[in-house]
Amino acid sequence: MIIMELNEFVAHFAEQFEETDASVFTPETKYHDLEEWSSLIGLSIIAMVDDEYDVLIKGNDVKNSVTIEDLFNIVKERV
Amino acid sequence: MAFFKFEGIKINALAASVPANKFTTDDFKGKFGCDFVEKFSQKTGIKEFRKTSQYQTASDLGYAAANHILEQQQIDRESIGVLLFVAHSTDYRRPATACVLHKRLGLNKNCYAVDMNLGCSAFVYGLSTICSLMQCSDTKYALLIVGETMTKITSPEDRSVAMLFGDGGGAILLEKTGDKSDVVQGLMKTDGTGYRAIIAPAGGSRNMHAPTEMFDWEDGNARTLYNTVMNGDDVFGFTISDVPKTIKEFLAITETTVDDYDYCILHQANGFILKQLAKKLKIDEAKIPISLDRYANTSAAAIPITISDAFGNTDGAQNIKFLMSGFGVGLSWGVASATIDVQNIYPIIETEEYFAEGVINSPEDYYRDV
Repeated sequence: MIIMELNEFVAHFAEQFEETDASVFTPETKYHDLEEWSSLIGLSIIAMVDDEYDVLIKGNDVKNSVTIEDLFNIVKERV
Repeated sequence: MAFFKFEGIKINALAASVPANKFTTDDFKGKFGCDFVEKFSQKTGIKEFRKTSQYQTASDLGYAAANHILEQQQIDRESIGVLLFVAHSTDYRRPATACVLHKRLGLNKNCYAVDMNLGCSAFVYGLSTICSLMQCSDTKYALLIVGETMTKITSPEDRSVAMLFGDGGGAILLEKTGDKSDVVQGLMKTDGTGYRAIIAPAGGSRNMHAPTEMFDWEDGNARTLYNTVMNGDDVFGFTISDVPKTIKEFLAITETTVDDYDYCILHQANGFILKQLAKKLKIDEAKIPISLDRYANTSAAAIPITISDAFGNTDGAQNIKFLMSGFGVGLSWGVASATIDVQNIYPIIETEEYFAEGVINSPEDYYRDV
């Protein structure tokens, strides 16, 4: 059983970015609004969730979630 | 379960071909911006790809590879009992492209020639199909020809695919040896619920006369209904979950590990996916040859192009044991294993040739003597 911590999820999320400083990321971050956000980073997020939590999220999960916490909640339900 | 095992059949030779016409991702910097192109190239590993000319088709590329094998291996063309062409990019709506290739290759009438429609999984599916046909017939030699011209049906304005795909073809000659140590195995899978994940919606019988206008799609790209649209996120998800599971299942059924194979030839989807697969399957990246940096994702042709690219210039006789996996459009995927003597793997052929006789642009062209 993987116990999910929100802060840890945010940290993993931040690791997928190269230019955006890690301090920018909080559970409330609206990630689609970040300048560096791109569909390629979206793929990294899918891979990260699969690697860290063994959960396969869909493209629509990434598209329809607004904040990092929204996505965290989707993943948490499926762990 | 769709697990196949064939004894007494081997891959006698392999060749691959690409169009001479080369593009680089840098060519797209004006259109998509330097920043996007550089990031794309860094993430996918793609730097160059090849593109067919107007009348050059997947079968022209496959023909070049197959003809080269027949010439080099000095095989009697009368002895080819099966010709299987696997591609989505066919020459015509009818007849089967395999019949056109049958004529061009000068094969005997005693030949089972047929097309199969698959893309990224074409090679592994084709291998299991052609071995099945050989095992249940008196065929001594058979030709599997694969090819794809994705650049013809992708929108040049579509950032998600314009630099991702290249054109290519490949062929293998199969031989029935009767030697039990010659083994080909395969595990094939399908998930039709993903039929829309990679699709060219118009031009087939379902919507043959759709409007040709360019639409702005929700993903921010411009394309017509005749172009290929891909839900990259979902295809990626499928690739990193179902594909490694199937490879592990194949290893379990065959009671082998990745260490039992000399090289692992993966569909050249993109570099990011290959890295994920290597990590999940714990395969040393040195055992996974890469050709996508120069040829991009060539769909059906990716496996033979990668083998030809990596081993085509190796001298001396040496059997190499390959574990191969093709996956994508369908969704259709599979894993196969086979051994090839490296001296019968030919280097990549570059060609601009096309079957001029086959271009029918007017009634006069049709009635011309051929």
